[in-house]
Formats: sequence, structure tokens, C-alpha cells
Amino acid sequence: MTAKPRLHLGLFIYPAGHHIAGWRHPAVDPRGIAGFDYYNRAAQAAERGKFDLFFVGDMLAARERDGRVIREGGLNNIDSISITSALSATTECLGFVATLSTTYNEPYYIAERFASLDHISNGRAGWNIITTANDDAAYNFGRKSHMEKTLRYERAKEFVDICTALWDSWDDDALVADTARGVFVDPTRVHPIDHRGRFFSVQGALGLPRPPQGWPVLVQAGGSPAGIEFAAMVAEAIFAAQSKLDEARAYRTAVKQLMPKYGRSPDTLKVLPGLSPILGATEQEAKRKEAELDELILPAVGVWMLSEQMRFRLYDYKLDARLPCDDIRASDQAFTPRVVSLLDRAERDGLTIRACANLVAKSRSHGTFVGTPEQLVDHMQLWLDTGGCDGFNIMPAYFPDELDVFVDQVVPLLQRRGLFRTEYEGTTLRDHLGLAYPQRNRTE
Amino acid sequence: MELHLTVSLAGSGYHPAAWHTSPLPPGPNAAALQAMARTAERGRLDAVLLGLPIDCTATHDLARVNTMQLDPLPLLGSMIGVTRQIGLGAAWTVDYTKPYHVARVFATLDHLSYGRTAWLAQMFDTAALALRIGRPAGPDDPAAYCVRAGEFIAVVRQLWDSWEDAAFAVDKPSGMFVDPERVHPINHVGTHFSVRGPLNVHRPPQGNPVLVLQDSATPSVRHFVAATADVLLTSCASPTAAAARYRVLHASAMERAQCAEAPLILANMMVVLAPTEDAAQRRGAALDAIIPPARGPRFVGTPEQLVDLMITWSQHNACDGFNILPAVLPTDLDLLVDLVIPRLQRIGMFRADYTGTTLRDHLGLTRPRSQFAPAAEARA
Repeated sequence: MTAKPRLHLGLFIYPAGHHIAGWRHPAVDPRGIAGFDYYNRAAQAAERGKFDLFFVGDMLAARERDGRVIREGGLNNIDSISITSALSATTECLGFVATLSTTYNEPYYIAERFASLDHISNGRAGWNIITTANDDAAYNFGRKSHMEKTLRYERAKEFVDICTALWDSWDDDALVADTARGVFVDPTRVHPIDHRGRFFSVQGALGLPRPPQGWPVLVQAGGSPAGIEFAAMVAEAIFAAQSKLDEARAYRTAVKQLMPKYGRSPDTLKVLPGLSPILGATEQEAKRKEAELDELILPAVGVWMLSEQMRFRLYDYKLDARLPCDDIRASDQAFTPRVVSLLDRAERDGLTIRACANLVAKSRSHGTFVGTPEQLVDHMQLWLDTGGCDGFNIMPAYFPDELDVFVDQVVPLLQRRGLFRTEYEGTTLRDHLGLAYPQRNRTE
Repeated sequence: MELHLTVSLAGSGYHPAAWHTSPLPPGPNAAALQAMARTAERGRLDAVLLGLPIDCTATHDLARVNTMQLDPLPLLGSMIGVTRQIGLGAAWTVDYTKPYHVARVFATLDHLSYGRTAWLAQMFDTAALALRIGRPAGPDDPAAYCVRAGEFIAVVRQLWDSWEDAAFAVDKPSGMFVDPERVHPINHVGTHFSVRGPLNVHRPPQGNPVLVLQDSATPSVRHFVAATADVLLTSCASPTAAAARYRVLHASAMERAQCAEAPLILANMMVVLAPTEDAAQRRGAALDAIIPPARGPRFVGTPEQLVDLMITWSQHNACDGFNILPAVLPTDLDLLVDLVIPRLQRIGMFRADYTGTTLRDHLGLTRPRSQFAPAAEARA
């Protein structure tokens, strides 16, 4: 008996690779990381592997330490809409998820931008809705401080409601192009919105017909309580960050349990945790590859990542001193579960700052897997079968070689087990993810 | 003299009645626009410009005009991978967005396209857009408006320059990905904007993507755009009027402090083409009968006559080239590329092939140094 393929795969692109030292790998050409060919090479591989989607993140400030750009890797993704629109013209089926912030944009522009991307790609667009977590972005947008989290999510909800109303503002038959009557658009079939809310006031209609998917797929990535609540309200797919199966299961269950409160069926959400694999023909080879990459990590970059994650300056401590867990705890913050678990582990095992920095640097705080393609498929199937996820957002350690290994060696095994599609069955991102087309949600 | 030629693409074409005769399907059609960009590239044009609005002032009933345009930024993006050499410009307002977004998006597009992009900085956006954004536009007074627009553009250019060219070090042996000494916060605190920087994208291949501005009838605005733009689009009815305007704009441009280079001046020209004059006049009249023609310079005639017009304007020193607004797409673009360009090439008035790779190369504009480079060198 073959079950219906139910695994979903995203490819998370990143300059050079997701391993912090990936750009130093001998196989990587880091000079090319902003040119079209770099992204197109990865998109072609993802489409060859029948991936559901290609995912691009977003940052609105340079990565800095004390006002200086990080020497060991200061670049993040360039503008996600530009990358995805470029790739939509050289691919046919692959979906695209672009990330844009609701804290630093205006709803009308974003609604029009994603409607355009959905039209340009013939229904392959998704929007990863973020509220932007880093404080530095505020200074690039004329603000003295970053907006407080609760407020950010309230703004995000209002923002998304305006976008969906704008996407719904044209009736399907509004574009008449009737040469006999001389009417191009029937104004009685275009319905301007009149929104006056706490954060925004928007009056007017979209400048374009309804996007092919109705709305682009709404994606979300926040793991905090406010983020989970928001995901339950609006998200159709989640880019999750849990690296352990029990945590992933608990997270997925928590979001799905909240959905009925907002009148939504838990089936209408796909959860895709990040997964960064390092693969070898044998387990030893994979471990050797991992060790080679870890060799390339400079201690400074790890200490920076650790300091950022703990929101605690570790730069003035000796590298081989123990992690100052007491001082960090005394800084009295609301630590994320990830930080708490690292602090516990550091205390228990007496880890040095260097050791902790290495741990943080190599995983970029997402799930990692080191082993053979067979072992990886076992791992993925276990997560899928036990409610840990609906698929994965694949984060290759470096591009394009590690992506090719996944596409050529892991995808066929997933297909052989009946877990993953052998051909695209539909044409839109909603088709790939098995998501319904949204009904018009207009209040007359 | 060799001309520079750009073409604007929008909707069904720039005549308000274009959709009546355009063979394109009426809905948003990115694939057709991508094909037109390839046609323009086949004609070796300098650039396509996206997002220039259609002049609808002659009709009060917008339901009769195809004003529908895809967002020019993702539309530009979608042309990068299907063209190799032609420049790609897109309009984005200075009224309702932030300098950091504009700098970041155009730096991205310039990297993706290996240096082929232009920003058409749109000024004086309409009241309808103000309602959609939920904020008023810039100041009403043109001079005050230009002060704000000038600050906006200066911040964008500083952000593009915030990474010196050598800042993207990618030195594998030492592990220096970025040279922090060559990345500069801009620390801009002005009247309208406050932006710390630096940008989180390394310096674009062109240094600064090309800045395109529209000429204006208002003297203070005209002075501002002449002193600010890399490329100016003018709208004059005759070669003598255009020549007078050309001299005024050049005089204004020469007053600008920071840049020795005068802007290129391209004359907007809507064109209705046909192999015979009769046929062209019939096409023009048929369109005009449906919706009266908009104001603005317009040519109706044969390819030979358009070449003659270009020679005349050139002899008058009326412009450095033209921004062609095809009345109907893709009809008038196809005729331009197939019948006008070869004639221009034959008489040495247009390039036979591209000689450079970036849009600045095509336009003959130099690549600017980073504003931060001299200070950094002095420190070293």
C-alpha cells in the first residue's frame, strides 16, 4: 500500500550557506552570492527536486557588534521580493515565499507587491509575515527604539487584515475589456475598502485584479506566545525552529489547538521546521565533513552569536573561561527556551565560552542532522509520522553542493518510500501545500 | 552623434485607448512584458522603464482606460533572468516609502542584474495614493517638497556608498568576510529623515544605480531635478522648445556641487508607427476617436519619418536621446525595433551592439566612487 505523499519541502536560501563558516568552504564561491546566477542555480535544483517552495528571509539592518559590521560574516539575504520575482521567470512550478516586515512597511504597498508577485508567478507566491525582531532596524527607519512585541503583533494583525481585504477588492469579473461599450474595468465590480484602525487608515481598492491564488499563502515564523497566537489566527504555513522532536511536537500541537478558537481547522496549517543536514556516503564521512566545517568557524563569530542570543555581552570574558551562567541569569531577562536549555547544559557539563560559541555557531539555532541520506530519511519520516511536522525547510550548510546532494540522494529515497511527490500535481503554491483557495471575505 | 534610447512599458500601451487595439490579453501579463523587454534588448536599447504612469488627463472616466500596472519592482525583478544586457528601470515614489527600503531594494536589483538597474524616483504622487497609504504626501509647496525629496535621495545615495567597494573582502584564509573598516554608518539626522545605516547590502555593481527624474514646468522643481538626476525625462512639443529647455537644465545641473557630470536628457515621445503615412494617420485617428489624445509630445508616422524627427531634434541639440512611449504594445515597440533601429544604426546614430555590461556603460555615465572612500583613504 502506498500512502499519499504528504511531506512538504522548502528550500531556505542563504548567502553562501547556513553554516556560519560555509562561505570559507573550498567548494564555495562567495563572491557570487548576490548575483542572479547564484539564486537561479539553487532554484533550478529545488525545482528538479520537486520542492514545494523556495524561501527567502529578510533583515533590515546590518549585523553588527558595537557599531561595527561583523567581520566574519556580515551579510544576510538581499531583498526577498526581488530575488523571488527574478526566479519566477526562470522556473515553472516552484513556489516562492518572500519575507517582509509589518513593522516597517505600509499595507497598501505590500498588498500590491505580493499581488504582483502572485500574478507574475501565476499563483506561486507566499508571504512570510514577520514583525522584525532586531532592535537595530529601528534606527534605520527614523525610530528611537524598536516597537514593543505585543504592539508589533497587534499591528501585524491589522496589517494582514488590510492586505486580505485589498486582495479581495476586485470581483472576478471586474475586468471586462468591453470594446463595444468602451469599458475596461467595471467600477461597480471593484470595491474600495474603507479601513480606519488603530495603526492604519486605508481607503481605496487594489490597482490589480485578485491574485491567482486569491491570497498569496500566508506564512509565519514566530515561536513566542504572541507569535503562536498570531500563527493560529492567520498562518497557513509555519517556518518553525524546533530542533528536538518532542519540542517540535509540542509546538505544532499548541498552535493547532489554538486554531479552532479563531474558527480555523487545524488541517489548514502546515508546519515546516528548519533542518540543516550534512550528508556523507557513510556516517564517518558525514562527521568528517561536519568537523571540516566546524574547523572553519572563528571563535569571534561564535562569541558574537552567543552574545546576541543571550542578549549578554561576552566579549570581555576569556574564551576558555566557563560560561558565566550566574551573571547571565542575573541579567534578569525573559530567556527563550533555547537559551535556558543551553544555560542548563553549560552548568551541568561545565562548558567554556568557546564550547558554547561553537555549539551556537554551527547550528544557527535550527535543527541539524549529520549522517547518510538513508539515516536522514529515517529521521524525517520519524518526525512526520509522530506529529513533529508536515515537512521541512531545508537549510543546506553551503551552496550549491550540499543542496545537490539533498536533491539527488535524499529526494529519490523520500519518493521511493512514498513520502514525497515524484511530479508536481498542481501549478500553484496552494496546490503544492494542499491548501484551499481563500473565499472572498468582504463585509458589504 | 549616437542617441540613447529607452522605452517605457505599461498596460496595453501609452495611448489611453490602447487596449482597444492591443493584441495582448487584458489582464496582468508579465510574460508579455518580459517578451517586450527581450524585444527591446534585441534592438540594443539602453533600457526599459517600468511604472511611468499613463497620462489620462484627457479623460474623466478612468474605467475607460487600462491604467492597471503590475508593481514595477517585482516586474523589473522578473525581467532580470530573461534578459542579459539591457538596462532595467522601475519607478518608486519618494513620498510614501523610506530611504532604507529604496536603497536596499535597488542595491539588490543591481546586484541580481550585475549592474543594469535604474531608479525612477517618482515625485508628487497623487491624492488617491495618499488615501491608500493613509498619510498625506510631501509638503504642498514645491520648493519645500524638493528639500524633502533631496534629503531622501541623498540618504539613499549615502546608503549605497556606506560599503566601500573593497569592503566585501571575502578572504577565506584570514576569515575576513567583510572589512569592518570600510563599512560606514551614515548617522544621518536631518529635517525629514533619520537613518543610522550602514546598508546591509554591499555596494551595488554600478556604485549607485542610475537615478532617473522627470522634468517639471515648475522652475524650483526643474532646478532641483536637473541638479540631482543622472538621467532626466523631458516633455517638449517641438525641437526648439526642447533645445531651450535643454540649455536651462544644463545650466542648473552645472551648479550642483558634488558631481561634475551633466545629466543625460531624454525626450519623452509617444509614437504611433506604421509602414505608410496613411496607415499611421489612420491608426492615430482611430485611437484618438475612442479617447481624445493626452497632452504631451507625440509622433504619428512612418519609421523613416521618426528617424528624420530624431535627426532634426539631434541637430537642434534638443536632447541626448528619447524615451519612447509606444502608443500600443507590443505593436509600436515591434515596429520601433524592426524598422526604426536598423535605419538609425545604418546612419551611425545608434549602437550596433552593446559595448559595455552595465546600464551606466550603455548611457556613458561614469561609476561614482563611494562618498566615504576619500575620508577612509585619508585616515589610512
